[in-house]
Amino acid sequence: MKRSFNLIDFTKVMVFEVAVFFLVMFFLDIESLWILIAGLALVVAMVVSTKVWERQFSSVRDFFSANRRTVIGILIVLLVLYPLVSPLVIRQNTYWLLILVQTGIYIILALGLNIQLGSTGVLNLAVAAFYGIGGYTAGLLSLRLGLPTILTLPIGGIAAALFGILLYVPLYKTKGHYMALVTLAFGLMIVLALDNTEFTGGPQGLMSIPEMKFFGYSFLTNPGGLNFYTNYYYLMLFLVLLAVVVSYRFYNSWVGLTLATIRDDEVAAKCFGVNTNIWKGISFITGNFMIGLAGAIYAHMIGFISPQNFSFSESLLIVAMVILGGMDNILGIILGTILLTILPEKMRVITEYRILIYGILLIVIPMFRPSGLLPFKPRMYHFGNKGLGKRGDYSHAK
Amino acid sequence: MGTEAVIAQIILNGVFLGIQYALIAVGFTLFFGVLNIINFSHGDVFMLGAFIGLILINIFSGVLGMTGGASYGLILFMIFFLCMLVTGLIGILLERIAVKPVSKGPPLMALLATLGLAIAIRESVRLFFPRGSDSKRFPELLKPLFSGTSQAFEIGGVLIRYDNLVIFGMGVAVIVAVSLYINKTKMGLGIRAVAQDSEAAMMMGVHRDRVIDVTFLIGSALAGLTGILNGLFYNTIIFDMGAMAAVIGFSAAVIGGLGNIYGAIVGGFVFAMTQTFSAAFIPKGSEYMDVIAFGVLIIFLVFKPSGILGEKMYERV
Repeated sequence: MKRSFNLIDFTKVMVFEVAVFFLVMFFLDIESLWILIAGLALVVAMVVSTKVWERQFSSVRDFFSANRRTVIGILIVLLVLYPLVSPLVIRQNTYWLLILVQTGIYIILALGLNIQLGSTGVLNLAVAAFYGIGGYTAGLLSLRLGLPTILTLPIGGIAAALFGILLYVPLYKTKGHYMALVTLAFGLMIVLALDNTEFTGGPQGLMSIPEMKFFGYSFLTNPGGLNFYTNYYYLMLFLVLLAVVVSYRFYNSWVGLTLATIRDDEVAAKCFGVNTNIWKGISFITGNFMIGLAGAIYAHMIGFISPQNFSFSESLLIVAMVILGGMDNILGIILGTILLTILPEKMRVITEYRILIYGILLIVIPMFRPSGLLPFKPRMYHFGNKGLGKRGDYSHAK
Repeated sequence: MGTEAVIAQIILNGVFLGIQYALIAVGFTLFFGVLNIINFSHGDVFMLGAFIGLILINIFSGVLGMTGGASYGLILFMIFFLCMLVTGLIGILLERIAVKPVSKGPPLMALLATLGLAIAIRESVRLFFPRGSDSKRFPELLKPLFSGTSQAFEIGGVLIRYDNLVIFGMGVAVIVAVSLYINKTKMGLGIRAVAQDSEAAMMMGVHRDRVIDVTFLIGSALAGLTGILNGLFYNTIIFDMGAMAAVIGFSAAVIGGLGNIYGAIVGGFVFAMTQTFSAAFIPKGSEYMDVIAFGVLIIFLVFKPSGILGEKMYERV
């Protein structure tokens, strides 16, 4: 069903999104704890009300899913405009730009892990180690050999993928909790090794890693009087969009379906002739490439990395993003990531209790939403007149 | 010192360390048996045990200072017992609040929740214990027991400290007691039944919730005792010591085969031996000790994917 352009719908969507956009910016700007709590309570109330008025809510949802392209288009335009508008609204603009770029890195990490954990069911508790391998590779190559950024970024990803192949040899032999232990042990091994090796700077790590440079354009220059993090912001925006598109294509392809069969029932998948070992390996290595790439970006952006950045608790954070957001649900994972990166920053007002609250959240959320914020939905394959139906068009299914 | 003596010394160190790992691993394996859950907060219950022990020692320090000889040992024993009791009760409390409710959900979500619980316990100690983020000195309580004689004795060039021997003896005694309890009593039978098939056990009239409570009481009490023993062994405790303990305890339980108590004990010793041997025999070994221990663990799992004493998984297509 092809929809023609509808000006009224377009305006509705735009007004809504611009309003949300400014609300979010004001939310970032607020420093008062009580307004913050009131805002959060409002959001919780809204989420609850969607349950109470489910019929009305579903009509709103249908409206947005019918105008999917408009929603995404306006969202991208707003995200592109953000660095231009934010200095006028947000007082601590530089700080929030940095946080947003870091959120972008975490989204790439979480989407990489999702290919392994969400799509295939391979629990990787060494995410931070692969993140670190990417970061250290990029850092060492640019520090010691002076390689340009355009090479260090992909090589960082490839290094993580190669280590992934190395780990996959013991990994495919084991199952379940034993598999989790293999990745856990690998993650600890890498961090301990980095901590004790002089070549990588030991516990101090690598310092003064050069900033990114593309074709002579240094990322430390301030474009048009804006903060230099704007450069990283746009790079991140591009890479995150790329990662999201790749993830969706992956999910909707036959590869994603193959991986899902392995996750849901490995024996059944084998019975249908799926070579589970090879496919699990492919998903593991693809995920690690994305994770390593994120590490390389982090190393260049912050300019300083140490083994502490890649500890087990960092792995946990990323695993929590995927599980809380909803496994194999890309939108859910992005939401989960944003929640777990922005919220702790907002809670800096109560710095001391931040990690405690984070821990309590990790206990409470699984109790109320045992399959994540946005649970994974079974794929809707329905064959209408033109083969596979379009997403958002469920008229055949009903 | 001859080579034999060196090796004997290393083995002895491994044994003293291994008993502590084994005590933690038994908890992991017990919880896995009854709830099918990897309870990562167990490491922080162990840390809690050490801190509760410290509090109890401070409370009783006045009494301890005055007495000597047999009554000193008695009070010491009371401290151990109280610490085990308090930690065990806390274990039940945590299980009721956080562990059991999530264990019904998907296993990964449950794992995450126990990790959250671990963070919450760790942070609570850091924030609410006076000067909680500093490492704390743990008093050497066992020394006065041997104040008359020397602190150690020697057999064939191997130095054995009396206090380490006491730690080892207590560990062994507790493990024997637990294994007797599980194998010989009615409640022990219940624990084994729930571990094998909880629904069938419930149909046979086993009170599943009570079994789970008892299991957490035993497991957490063991962790609490290990906390004190660890404090006595290293003479220092810190709020984040539970994280590594959890990883090592989990590793030991997996090496031995999850769900098997004897496996957990064997796994604890195997892990400790790997650590001490690699610290001694590999150049720069003390720095790379844990790297090698985890490397050996990974390679081990390639050849024995379900642990030493674990059930074989048959799955062929």
